Amino acid sequence: MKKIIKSTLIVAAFAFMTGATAADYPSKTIRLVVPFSPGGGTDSVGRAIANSTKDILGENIIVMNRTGGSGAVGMSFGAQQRPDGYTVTVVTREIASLPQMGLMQHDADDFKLIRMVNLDPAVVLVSKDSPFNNINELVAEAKKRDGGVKFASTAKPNFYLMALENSQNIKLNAIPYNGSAEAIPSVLGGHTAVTMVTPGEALSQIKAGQLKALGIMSEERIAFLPNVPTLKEQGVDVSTGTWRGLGVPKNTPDAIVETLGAAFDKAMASPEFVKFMKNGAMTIHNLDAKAFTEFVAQDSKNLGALINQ
Amino acid sequence: MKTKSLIFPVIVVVISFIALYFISQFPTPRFQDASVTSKFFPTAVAIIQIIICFFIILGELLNRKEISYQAAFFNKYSLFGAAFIISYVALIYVFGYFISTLAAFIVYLLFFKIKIIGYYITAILFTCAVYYIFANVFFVALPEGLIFGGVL
Amino acid sequence: MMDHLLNGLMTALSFDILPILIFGVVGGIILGAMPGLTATMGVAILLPFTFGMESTAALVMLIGVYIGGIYGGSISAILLNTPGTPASAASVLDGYTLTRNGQAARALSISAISSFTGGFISTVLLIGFAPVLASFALKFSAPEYFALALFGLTIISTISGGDIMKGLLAGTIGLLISVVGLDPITSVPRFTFGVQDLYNGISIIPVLIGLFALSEALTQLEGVISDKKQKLDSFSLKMLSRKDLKEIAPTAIKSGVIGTVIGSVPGAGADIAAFVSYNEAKRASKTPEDFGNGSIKGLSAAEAGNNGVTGGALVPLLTLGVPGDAVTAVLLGALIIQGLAPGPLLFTYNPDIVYGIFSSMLIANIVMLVVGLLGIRFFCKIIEIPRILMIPIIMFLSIIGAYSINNSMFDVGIAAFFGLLGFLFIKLKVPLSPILIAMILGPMAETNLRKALLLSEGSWSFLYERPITLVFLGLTALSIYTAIKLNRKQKAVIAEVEAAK
Repeated sequence: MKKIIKSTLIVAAFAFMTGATAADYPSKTIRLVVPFSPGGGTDSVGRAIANSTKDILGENIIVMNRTGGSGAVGMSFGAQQRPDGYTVTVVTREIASLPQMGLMQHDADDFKLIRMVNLDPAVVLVSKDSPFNNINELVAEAKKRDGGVKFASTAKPNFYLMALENSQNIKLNAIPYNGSAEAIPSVLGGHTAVTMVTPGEALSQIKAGQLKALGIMSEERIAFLPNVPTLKEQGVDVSTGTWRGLGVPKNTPDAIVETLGAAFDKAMASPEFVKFMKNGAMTIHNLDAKAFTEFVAQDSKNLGALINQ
Repeated sequence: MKTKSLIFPVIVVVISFIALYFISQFPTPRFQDASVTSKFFPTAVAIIQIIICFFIILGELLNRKEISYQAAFFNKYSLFGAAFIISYVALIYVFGYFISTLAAFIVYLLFFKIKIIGYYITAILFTCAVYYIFANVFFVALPEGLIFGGVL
Repeated sequence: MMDHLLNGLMTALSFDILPILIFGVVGGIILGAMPGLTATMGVAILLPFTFGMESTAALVMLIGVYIGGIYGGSISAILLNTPGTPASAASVLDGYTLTRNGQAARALSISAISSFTGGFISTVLLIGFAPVLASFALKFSAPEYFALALFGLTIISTISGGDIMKGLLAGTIGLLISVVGLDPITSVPRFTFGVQDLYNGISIIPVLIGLFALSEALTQLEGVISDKKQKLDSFSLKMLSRKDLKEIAPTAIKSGVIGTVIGSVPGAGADIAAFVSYNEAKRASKTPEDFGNGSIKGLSAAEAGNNGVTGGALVPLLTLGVPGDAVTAVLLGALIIQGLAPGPLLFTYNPDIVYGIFSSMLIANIVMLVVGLLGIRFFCKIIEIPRILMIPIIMFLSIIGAYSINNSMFDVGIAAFFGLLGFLFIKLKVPLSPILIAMILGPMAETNLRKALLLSEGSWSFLYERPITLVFLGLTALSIYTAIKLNRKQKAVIAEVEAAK
């Protein structure tokens, strides 16, 4: 037993020596923590970025799915890892909302944010047989029947919907569904009237004409849906959406953060990744560490206003 | 003997009442809820559970025939097994997969006084093979342990 | 359509594609057989490799893993009482009993043939009736899901063998466990005690590993010394007879159809299909008392049911562009990465891809059958490994499996806890399966009942106004009636035996 302990300590000391020096970073496999399950949008973006970055860094990147609590478990896990640059976490918009609802024990300040990867607006969708043809008709109906229009909600609470409700002073009957995979069939089957998802989640249904897009919740029209007007164009000034980025635990040395940042810049510009994002109808929105950190702080403030109203 | 068969349902009843207490402490939702609320389902289950236990206790009391229960829940080996599982989990937590599995396997073989060398070789081969396959084929990073990695 | 299919079959059988398909199926079987590693994980792991692959090859490989993975779980369920995936938990009930009676080869061959039947039927239904199935699936709303879950839950009343009360108690324990976590409707934390790892509830797979694999290892350990000097359990390599085949054929076909329908409904996967098929087979059986005591029909129903999902789950993926279960969610990602938009347009613009998928599924099922049947001799060798060596290996693989499903030591703790609990329950003669069934179907029933009430704005009329809901509620009533009848029958048998004394 003594021998085991002794050899263990030697191994441990060895691991320490080789582990945390910034100069030869990276010198071993990097883990990318994805706080959602395999197959989702966050997971596939994570896997794509890992795939594109590993050749640039010259070390393998293993995707580690750590699910639970709408992303809280995985992101908290990522924040608590050793700050040596060998654990990178995919951070999502939930890091701005969950802590303010008391549903997550870490927040954006526990990370050094490296890069924003994508920013996608929400799109308002109804079934092709729906009587609504633009956002104003929907708003008018919601005003007429308070809480009578059924909304298939992909999250609880749904901040896309809350933003619209607040600005137009309306109330919809939000039925919680388990992500877009369940919300979209519910609208297709006529069980609910309307839903809001990101373009990538519903591109094929929109293209096939099964779903009608009433408007996109961004400042400008997007390339994937050039014929869909923004809500702003229709006189409803609401823009909202979701974003993803990458972060490391807050005490990570700056040199490592810069190495990673430069690698992610290259990866996000690689033809492979660009094609992947284009196929998935997701918009690459590369913000550097400073801009991303400011963006998250501002979004937290916006969400805080919705949460604490 | 009779009391023994009663312990289990009584424990479940106690747990059910504790659960009912916690259910009453659930916070009120901030978002809309159905007429069947978040408290309804667990409350109903806990109450049904108490009723079922009541029937089980009643059955045991009315049933005069002695049902021969095994004298002990654990014998020497299953007790070792239970302790083995718990200590293996604790070991992984501290030392990570590799050291813990190898150590636990050898302790296990020693406990059963195995003298076949082949079994020890199997233990080493198994530990290494699993480590290699998970890391390089399944791309699962096995636990590194508290002393090597971060918080788990 | 026919020439598209022929073209697809030619491709699937070509020298470039067939090896990839076989690799996928075999890899899937191995993954599925390991506790904790599932078809979902296998497909997700392989996904990045498909980035650079040509579309057909990529999809063929992933589909092979999918079909192999769902079948593979039953091998360990039958041989070791350790279901590799939740989908094969229903196969333990009869499969392991058959192995204990020395009929491992018979059980494995029934499993392979039933899985093939279920998978093949569902692929044929997918090819022939995808649009019909899709429009049926769209009719499913909260009330239908609720009624389906309720029907599945009634299996608890019939599964518990002798002591119905203990079975029900196990069921309520499972239901109470399933409540832990953030409430799916309002996000109110229930029994989480501020522990973040509990927010998503207690995951099924660590519980499955604990209750079945670890508790079984402990039970075997108890008898290991007394058995040490004994010879190995004798078992024959005899496969199923022609009579068996005749007996299981109707059940397998029916379960395959049930699996297809359940698979085509988004949000209901192979685990639910296996239990619902099993329940329906038992309900319809003339000798329901055989189920759980090594009934080949029971094993066949569970196996055909879970593999029946494979074709069904592709219905919403290909026709609506939404995944039918966790695996097809990853497949959806794979299609998008290849630049294909799943949904109705795929049939119009990429019929070669659609029929490529169809034909590779047909071939994958045949490969699965061949590998499954040829492998029986090899699989049976597992039982010949000395138990004293097999027990720790099962324990280690279980623990690692529990870890790898979510890279979480918390889940390992859950598995260990449920391992000890399961062992105690075996001693107390409390059946374990009801706990698992309740955990799988309980949340589905609760969430959808409340969702139905939200959708109907508080009215309960959905219980009698919707035809599909009514059918499932009717089946639920019939299932409870069967359970009561069965219970009376068993009591009468016991009384007879005692009178004879």
